[in-house]
Amino acid sequence: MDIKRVVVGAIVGGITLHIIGYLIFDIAVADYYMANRATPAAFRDAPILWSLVLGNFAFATLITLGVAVRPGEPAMGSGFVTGAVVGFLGWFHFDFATYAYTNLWNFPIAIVDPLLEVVHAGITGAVIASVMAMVPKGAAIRPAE
Amino acid sequence: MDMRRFAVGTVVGGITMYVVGYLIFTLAFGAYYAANVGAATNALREPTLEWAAALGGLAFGALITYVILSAPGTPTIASGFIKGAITGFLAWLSVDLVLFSATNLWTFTIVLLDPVLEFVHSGIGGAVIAAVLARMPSSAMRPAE
Repeated sequence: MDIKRVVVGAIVGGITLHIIGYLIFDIAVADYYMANRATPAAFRDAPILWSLVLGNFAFATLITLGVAVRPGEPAMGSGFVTGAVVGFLGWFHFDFATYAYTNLWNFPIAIVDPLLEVVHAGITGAVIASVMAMVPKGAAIRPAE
Repeated sequence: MDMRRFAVGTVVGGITMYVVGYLIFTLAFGAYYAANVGAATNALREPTLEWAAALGGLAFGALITYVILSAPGTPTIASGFIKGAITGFLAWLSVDLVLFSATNLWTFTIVLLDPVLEFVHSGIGGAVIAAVLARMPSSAMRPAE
């Protein structure tokens, strides 16, 4: 695995997740999420931004590794599929686990959230794969000096 | 991707992770988690919804199976452990940080501990999935009938 490509993919992916996440979850469907809070007192008045940013970079690293382990050169289409599958299955798990153990959200969020992640993580996977394809492979293919 | 292997890996992974999750998060560390609930004391469900936890576990079994089957080569117990462990660690590090950003559900100690326990939890899940998949011939490798 080419570490340089993975690092670049994770950084670009983290930024993409943050921007697309803001557009989807803070603008497009923010009111829907707000209306489906089962325990409003459990939510912070303002999110802790550094924690959200770090969380996005961790998930971007996971998508990047998913793109990197696939055989062949990364491509936008396969990157979208990898991101969408990782995002959907990952968040399906988290949302159902959260619903099982907490009263944070009403049940519709456990259905809607993983579907939105298909778009959120899918676009991110496409961007990651596109950028990884532009980064030349590491030392293994360089001629000896 | 071989859908028969994907389905078997998903079911085996879901069952394994449900059992191992009970041992780790309920029996071994249940009291520690209970002692580290944040300010949102009413947000935890009592009793938990086991059907939702089991369904979520199947999704994570599917995610780890997808990662294992995406990589070239025959799965081994060691490679399955590594893939499962990294997937679980990164995925839950992301979710714990995002949850910490938005809610008062847990103290920050849990944000650090939970992904480490997931490394073990998902690693064992990945090892079991890989062990089972290694015994299943790929449909592409079957002789023509």
